[in-house]
Amino acid sequence: MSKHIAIVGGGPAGYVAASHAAAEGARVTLIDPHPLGGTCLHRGCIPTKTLVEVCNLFEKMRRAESYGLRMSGTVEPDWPAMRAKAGQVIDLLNTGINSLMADRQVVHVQGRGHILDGQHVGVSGHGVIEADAVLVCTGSSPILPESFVADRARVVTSDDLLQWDTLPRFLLIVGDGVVACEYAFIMNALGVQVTLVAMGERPLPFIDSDISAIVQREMRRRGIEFINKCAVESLMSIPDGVVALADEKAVASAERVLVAIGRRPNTDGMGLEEAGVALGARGEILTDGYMRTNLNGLYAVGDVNGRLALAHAASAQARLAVDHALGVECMPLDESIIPWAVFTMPEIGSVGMTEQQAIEKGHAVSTGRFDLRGLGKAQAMSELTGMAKVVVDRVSGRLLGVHVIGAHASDMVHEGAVLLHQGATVHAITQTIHAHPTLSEAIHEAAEDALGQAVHKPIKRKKMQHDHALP
Amino acid sequence: MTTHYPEDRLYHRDALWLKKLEGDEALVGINHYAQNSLGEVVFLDLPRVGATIRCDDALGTVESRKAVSDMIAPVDGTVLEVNPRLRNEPTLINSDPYGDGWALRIRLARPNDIGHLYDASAYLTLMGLTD
Repeated sequence: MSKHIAIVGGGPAGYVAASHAAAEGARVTLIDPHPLGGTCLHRGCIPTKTLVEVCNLFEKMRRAESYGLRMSGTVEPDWPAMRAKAGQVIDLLNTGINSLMADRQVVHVQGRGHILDGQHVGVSGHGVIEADAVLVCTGSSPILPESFVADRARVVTSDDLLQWDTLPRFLLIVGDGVVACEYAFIMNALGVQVTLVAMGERPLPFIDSDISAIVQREMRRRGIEFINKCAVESLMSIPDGVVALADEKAVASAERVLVAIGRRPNTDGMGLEEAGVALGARGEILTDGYMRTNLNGLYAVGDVNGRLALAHAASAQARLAVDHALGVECMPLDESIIPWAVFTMPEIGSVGMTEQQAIEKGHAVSTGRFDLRGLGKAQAMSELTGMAKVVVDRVSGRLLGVHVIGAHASDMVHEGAVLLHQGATVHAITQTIHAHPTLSEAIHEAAEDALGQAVHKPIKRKKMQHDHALP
Repeated sequence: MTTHYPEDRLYHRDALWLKKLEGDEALVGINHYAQNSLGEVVFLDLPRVGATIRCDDALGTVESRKAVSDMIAPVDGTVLEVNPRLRNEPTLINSDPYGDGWALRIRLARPNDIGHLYDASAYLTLMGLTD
């Protein structure tokens, strides 16, 4: 008799767990009141990337003449049509997930799951589902403090921005993380005047500071106002918009506001506390390296466990939890080597330690950098903005981090992820021939720069470069 | 006499020039050598009015198709004005680096402390340039 796995929540954690468990021969019940795909597909990664792609195309079309293309007429953003395009992509991918689940004979129960213990889930209208193990994959939701709900029509989170019928002329974004920065560039590209109010000193505070400095420069170039070191305390409704207050003073106002100050795990109203599931300070379900909760047979996977709010991390955790539940040999994930992709304009791919983190961890650090504009491919593409940076342990030569900003950065970063996974030294990059002409040459040159030998970079070190080459 | 390095300017060893104005004010811009090496300038990321600049620290960046370079401040000071034309016409840096392509008007923190700057002929000697 095959094992039965019950999964509550059908996002990148839940549906991947279902697919993998079924592939491993388990019977699977997937419980979600909503269409499968979760935040990632319906309100996050996928629709926003559709918009970013449209924005990148729009920018290129506006520069058409510089490429030698003569255009007649004008190109204008059509927001309703863009939303419709995003909707088509969502529908297509949702259909794909449904087919996958059907192919693997996963039973999708459309209802809200109520956790009873590690073997039982109650679903209204469906009774109690009994399983050998239960995975909680209920994701997270945007945080919207009470003091920010001045006017729900004008103040939105990433959950409802895509429901806008029209775009505002002025948008205030509260936050400095991925969602805040991605929407800042999207809205700016569509002609919205954007002001970003951030708690920290720089956008994307967790990203390597050389990379976020470029993000900040791009914001200035495009006219995105970035107000830093400002903790917005409340939002106040005014006749034509909303004012943000900090220290009882108005810091910025706009027609509408996007609040993007983080997400909290979805753990309310599903019986977790009654069942005795241990929760952390942010409401996250506490887990061990195998995603086990304190209840036998109960696992928590994805955003709900508060470990890493990334769709691909959720999917990796899902496979691990399923393997563990089914008794398949498995090892905890190395959560220090999970790549990030941030779709600002240009985009970012980042994996491993930032220079700052490496120093904090006590490494003697050497770094190498290379500007994309030094590459023939970048010039041919007219995609000049960007940089590749490698962070290396100066003593052992071990690669610690790879950070790229520029066109296709999110696709390029996996070279670094594979090498970090293997514990490789920077020489693994320099000794690997990289094809010409490609943007990936930037990573090769950055690695050479860490050794003080980048071929396409002046030997004279710039004054601001404070690091030292490897011996 | 030089044509590319006017004698009414003082030159920092990096890439910026300085011209003293009335009182403790001065203009700052990018010299011929730097603009010529950079090629067509596409963007200047300059500090805001009111910002403090510190001698030998980067005050902003100048970006061409070929490179993004730090602009190293020639003196300590406060920014009084940013050349508004550079936003839409960054190539003024190339076409008129000492005139319409000026970058910043500043207030010198210590107007008499500019001895580290070079005059035109000393700068040419320093850089090994004939002009």
